[in-house]
Amino acid sequence: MTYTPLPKLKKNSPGTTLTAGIADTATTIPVAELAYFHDVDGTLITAGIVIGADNANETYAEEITITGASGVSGAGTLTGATRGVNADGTIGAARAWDSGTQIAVMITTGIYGKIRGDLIAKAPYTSLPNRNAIINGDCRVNQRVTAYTLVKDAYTWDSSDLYGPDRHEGMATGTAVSAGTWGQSTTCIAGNSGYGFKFAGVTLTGTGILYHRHRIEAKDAVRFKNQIASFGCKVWHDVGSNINYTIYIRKANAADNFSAVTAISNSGAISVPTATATTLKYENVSMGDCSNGIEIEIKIEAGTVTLKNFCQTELQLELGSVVTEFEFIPYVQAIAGCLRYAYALGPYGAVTNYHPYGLKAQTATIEIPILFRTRMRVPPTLFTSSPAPVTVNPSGNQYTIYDRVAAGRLTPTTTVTISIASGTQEFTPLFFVASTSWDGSIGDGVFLQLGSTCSFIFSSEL
Amino acid sequence: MAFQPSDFKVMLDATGNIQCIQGPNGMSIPADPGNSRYQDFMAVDTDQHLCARVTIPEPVASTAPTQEERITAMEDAIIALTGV
Repeated sequence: MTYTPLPKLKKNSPGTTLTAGIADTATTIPVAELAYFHDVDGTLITAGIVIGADNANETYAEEITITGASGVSGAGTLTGATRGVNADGTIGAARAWDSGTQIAVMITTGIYGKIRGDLIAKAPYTSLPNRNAIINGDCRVNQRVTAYTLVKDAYTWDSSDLYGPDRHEGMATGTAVSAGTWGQSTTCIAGNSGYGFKFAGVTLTGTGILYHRHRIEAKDAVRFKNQIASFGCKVWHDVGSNINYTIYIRKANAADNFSAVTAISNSGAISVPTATATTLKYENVSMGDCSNGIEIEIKIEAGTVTLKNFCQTELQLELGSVVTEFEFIPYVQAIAGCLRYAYALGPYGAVTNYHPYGLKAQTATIEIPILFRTRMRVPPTLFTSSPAPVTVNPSGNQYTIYDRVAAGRLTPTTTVTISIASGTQEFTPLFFVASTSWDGSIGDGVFLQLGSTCSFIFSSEL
Repeated sequence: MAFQPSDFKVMLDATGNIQCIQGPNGMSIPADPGNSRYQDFMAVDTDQHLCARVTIPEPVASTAPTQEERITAMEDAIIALTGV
């Protein structure tokens, strides 16, 4: 259902009369007063016009639409009439009318249908919260902090989930990908908040292409099953000439497994001028059965570029045939949504003190239970910045295990493997296993202290 | 991203159950079919179990005194010194 604005009506819907008889095929309607067919703004009312408006048998009246009028007031003609609109068989069908028959603008079947159609097309979705199925669509959440250095043909999390903004991945391809990062921008020109996803300082040769990808899990995709949806976002680039963007929408072939996907449709190339914040819309998409999960990919045909920048923000996928204003949600909700897919201990930019407590569980094993802030999508994978254990206050990519009982930092002998067990969606133990042993005593309470760039990412991203 | 069997190492407990899978770049992957990294692993491990299996040895009982033993020893020493 497509949204179409309703015509304004005349106050009290004053009627006038036909100044001559008309046949059932007439498309020019002579009336005594044209002013009654213009609204308060002087705009011609083209729908909801009824001939025989005062007929005692209301089913006898005929609804018409028009496209023009011979003037704005006084006697004249309504032109371009379509007769008998919204007729039900003979009820309301086009017929011949005598001179002097009443004609007026009314609340008709057609107007009622427009109201209903507009409600279906737009009203429920523009006003309802949580209509945007894209989490972190404006890139305010960036738990990992560190930007991803672009690697040709490799999406951000193809090898490590330590990098890039939450819930969104970037990739570059071309004859060569010589420079560039994918990360959070706080000075994005597109959109209102300044936050956005940014390909920064990109140098590509040959047919350089950038990709921005987001995946929606099955539990959230089900609401789009066999529905009409629309996608919108705001973009900006400084290539120096127009370049094409294309929006692809795909579905996972198995639940939450995107190793194989099927195309739903794509927007076709949309030209985006340089240095101009531009809104991209891909509306009225028949989603089909997408209940296994949805993938959205923005393809940016950058071409051969040197140190150029590309920003995307305010990504929104919603039910309905039109793109509505971006749903700006409180930050606490934005980060809560992201925590289902990634939970980060660090990097904090400074050395931490009393971090999660655990204990020396065995001779060679320190065990620290990690409780997630929400139920994660699946038991997560652990990614570490491969920090080095130290026995002094940690800095940079270092960590230490502090023994609260012995009041000192523990020393491993010698190498340490950091791992998790097969935990749950709410909990996992974090193990620091020394090749031989840790000093300290079994049962001692310990805590983990992190250096400024050290991080442990628990990821269940798609 | 194309992974190789050598990218993964399957850590088994003493009973042969998978405790976790060590992946490239310090990944530690839980054995959960919904985890996308586990899906990557399964694609290269295949039914032939191409990735290496490592059994984690049973923990050796520690010879160091436990916290309780240390407290008891400390209490015994105090009694021996003070008589109370």
